[in-house]
Amino acid sequence: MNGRLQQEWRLFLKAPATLPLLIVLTVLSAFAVYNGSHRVVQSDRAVAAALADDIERYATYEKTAADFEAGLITEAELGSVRNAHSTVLFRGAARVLIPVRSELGFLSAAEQRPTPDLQRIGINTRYGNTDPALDNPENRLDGPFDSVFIISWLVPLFVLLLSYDVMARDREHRGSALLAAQAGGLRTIIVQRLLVRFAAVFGIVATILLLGTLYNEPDRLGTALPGLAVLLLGLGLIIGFWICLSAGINARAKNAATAGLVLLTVWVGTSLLAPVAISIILNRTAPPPDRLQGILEMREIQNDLNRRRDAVSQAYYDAQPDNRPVRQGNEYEEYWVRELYPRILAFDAAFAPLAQEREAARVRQSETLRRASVVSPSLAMKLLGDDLSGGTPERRQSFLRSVDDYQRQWRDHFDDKLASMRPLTAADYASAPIYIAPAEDKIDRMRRLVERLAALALAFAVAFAWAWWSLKRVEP
Amino acid sequence: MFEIARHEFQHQFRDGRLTIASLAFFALLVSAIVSGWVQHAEAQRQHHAFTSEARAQWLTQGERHPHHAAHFGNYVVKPELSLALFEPGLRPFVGQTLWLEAHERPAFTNIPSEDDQTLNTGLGVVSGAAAVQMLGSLLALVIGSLAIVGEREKGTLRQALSQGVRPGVWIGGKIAGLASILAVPIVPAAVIAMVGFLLIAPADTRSDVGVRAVLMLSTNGLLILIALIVGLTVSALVRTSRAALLLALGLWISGFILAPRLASTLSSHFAPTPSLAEYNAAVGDVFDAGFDKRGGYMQQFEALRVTTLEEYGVETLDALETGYSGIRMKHLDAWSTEVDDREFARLQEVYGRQQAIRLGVSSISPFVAARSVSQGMAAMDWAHYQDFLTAAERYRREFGYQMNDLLQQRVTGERWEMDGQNADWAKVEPFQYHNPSAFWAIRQQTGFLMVLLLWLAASWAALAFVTRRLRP
Repeated sequence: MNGRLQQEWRLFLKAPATLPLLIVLTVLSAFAVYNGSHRVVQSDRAVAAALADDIERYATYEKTAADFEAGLITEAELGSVRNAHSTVLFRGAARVLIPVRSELGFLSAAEQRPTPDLQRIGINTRYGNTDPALDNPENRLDGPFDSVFIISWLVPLFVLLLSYDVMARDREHRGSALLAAQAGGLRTIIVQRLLVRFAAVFGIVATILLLGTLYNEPDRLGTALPGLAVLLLGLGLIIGFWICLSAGINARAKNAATAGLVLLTVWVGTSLLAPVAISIILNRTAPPPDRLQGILEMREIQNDLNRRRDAVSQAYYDAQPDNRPVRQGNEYEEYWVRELYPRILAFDAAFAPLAQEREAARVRQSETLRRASVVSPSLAMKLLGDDLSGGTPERRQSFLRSVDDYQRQWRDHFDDKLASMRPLTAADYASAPIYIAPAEDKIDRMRRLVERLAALALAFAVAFAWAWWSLKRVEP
Repeated sequence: MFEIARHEFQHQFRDGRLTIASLAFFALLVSAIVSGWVQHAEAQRQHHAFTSEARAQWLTQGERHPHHAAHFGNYVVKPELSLALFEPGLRPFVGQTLWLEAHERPAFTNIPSEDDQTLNTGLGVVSGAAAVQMLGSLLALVIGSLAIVGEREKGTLRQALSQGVRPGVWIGGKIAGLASILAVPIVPAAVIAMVGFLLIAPADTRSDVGVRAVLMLSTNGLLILIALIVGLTVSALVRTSRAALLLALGLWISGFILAPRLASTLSSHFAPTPSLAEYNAAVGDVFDAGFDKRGGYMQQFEALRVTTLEEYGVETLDALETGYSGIRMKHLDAWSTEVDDREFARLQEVYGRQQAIRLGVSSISPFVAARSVSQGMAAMDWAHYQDFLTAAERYRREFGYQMNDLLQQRVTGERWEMDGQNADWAKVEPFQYHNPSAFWAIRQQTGFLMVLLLWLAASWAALAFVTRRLRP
């Protein structure tokens, strides 16, 4: 650091507002990381408990069936583990599937996220199974207090507060002429002052994010650190954007209040109003999937299949003649196996394409939103943070596709025993398909991140060019 | 004071920046109202179509076991007042539809923000109300914070005070002048909104909507007035416009951006809502184990068998001339209702604690209080959604009972299988719901209204205090 820069750094720290603002930024950033970490811990705990239940349940099924086959227990002690309709068809016996962990999950503290933390899948359809959230929607109204919020909306405001008067203040006090006479002139001084502010804000936020990464992902640093590098690059670009705007405005502004008001207007325009305008336009050009229409379509299919239930069962057994029941079940078993099971399969066959189209509509909206974010650096930064924390429709779509693939395998595995009411064996449980969450397509992933960074880089480039042009013409 | 106000109004309007800001703000408000109007009309059309289609699906479901019909269930839609075009409140995070099915207390599942990412893109300035609350207050804070200090920097404050005008009168004139400037974009927009509310509202709800609208718009106006007074207080306290702006911005960031998120975070930390799995597990445990020395379901099931045999004077359940399956389902639903009511009361306590935390945070941010009142008056707050949920749950229990009764009437003994017909489904009356009255809404928001009035009194007192010590 050269002497001038050191001097600017000392002057920056001596300013009465600097330390309080930097302390507040540190506390808020740390609090946001804590909130995200807390959410990750809660989520991990719930996932671990669900997985443990799932593993234990199927281990018990397998062991009980094996004990029975080895003659260690009697039929009376067996329970219902050999009846597929009581085990795998039972909704509570659905397998617990976990998506691949995102690089930086702790960035988000949102309780409701696009990709579920876990998905339960069994023989039954997953489409009617809507787990409602009990949380108070007032807590969702403003969004979570997390790192995505800090880096997208708050950091620009702190940059604004720290840098809006770097030269306008001196003009106001008529000190700019004196500064202009120093070596390097006003341009160098403005740049040095802003570099100091950049370093302070970036340093604080980046350090806290690094600590958050080390704390939350100690075993996955290989994937977390590249994610963090992308995030920090985005952070650098958004801070750089605001620093450049400050430079451009301070090159001209006659007083600090005017400079502050202009920067505030730009913040309101790009961070508050631009996202709203984008929302309104996207609602017309890339509308979200129509949930109400989806409900009506689902119920219409349910009604149609109910009206044709005998024909649906008949069609299933005609197509799978080897699966005809080998025995008469009780009243419930007859309903669950002969009637409901074929209807579940027919329902999914009819509804899955509609559900997939809804997922595709979400992804289309996400892609359009990503491109539109070029006019709002805050929005672009939010989308980058959301992506790295795992909150994108693309990730959800990829996970749900793999879930559907797994459900097909699961159904195929138990299909004959379930439909024919033949007893399940320990081998059936032992050879049941295992879910392996696939990683997202790397090229698609890279494309998304590059697009988000490109939006930020473009905003930065425009601001930089303007700052360069303004600083070349700076006058006392 | 009138002269000072008139002078302030003219002086500020000569400043081109404020004229542009006012015009831009007016355009923004009108755009938000028109956009809200269009969206409201479209949503109303969709919801009417959805309600009638969902009802038709219930009526024409064909032959089905009554219990399966109860699981097929009904969809109900929360009606919205015309005020929602200006203040959509919690709608993006709750939705409007509820699925009512057997055994399950309804909860909102079709949440728009889960499908529509554009609802999660910003800081929430999507509606007219949000624009007034966030941007109107920012404008008021900024012009307030520069008003006195600007005069001090130019030296005109000394002139004004040396002319013998009492500082209190001078400040009163300033407030009146600046409030008039803020009224230029806001009052015409409010009139347009009011016309919209009353035009759209059905004739029988127009007076209620009128009362609610006046309160909603007044609350938003009150918030802006508080912001203006706080801004003027800041302006009287500091020596430079740079410091005034910094302080005003700091107050806006903490009160309008940080405080609402802080309220949500504190609510979630100190009064965490149980997850659905935890809630269901708690209900399931009590359902199986019983409470207040009453046995769990299996014990009750056995007792029910004995009492039914005694009541009907038969030896076995199969000898019953009525459907025991229906009796059993009625008993099961009645027991699960009791258990669920008990757990739901606990959940309500959690919501109550969250509300208390929110009320506490509103003491450092009038925005939290004003927004809550505004949403309440528009019938778009959590209290109104809860009221709708309660009515829907009552309806769910009624039609569930009807389904169980059908089962009891149509089979005998322990038989289960039977099918209801379309004629049976038609006996279930459609769901009817009307939003509670404006006075009910006011009662729900009393705490936040008090906080707002306290804010007004406190900011006024603070301004009066600094005015007495006002020096050039």
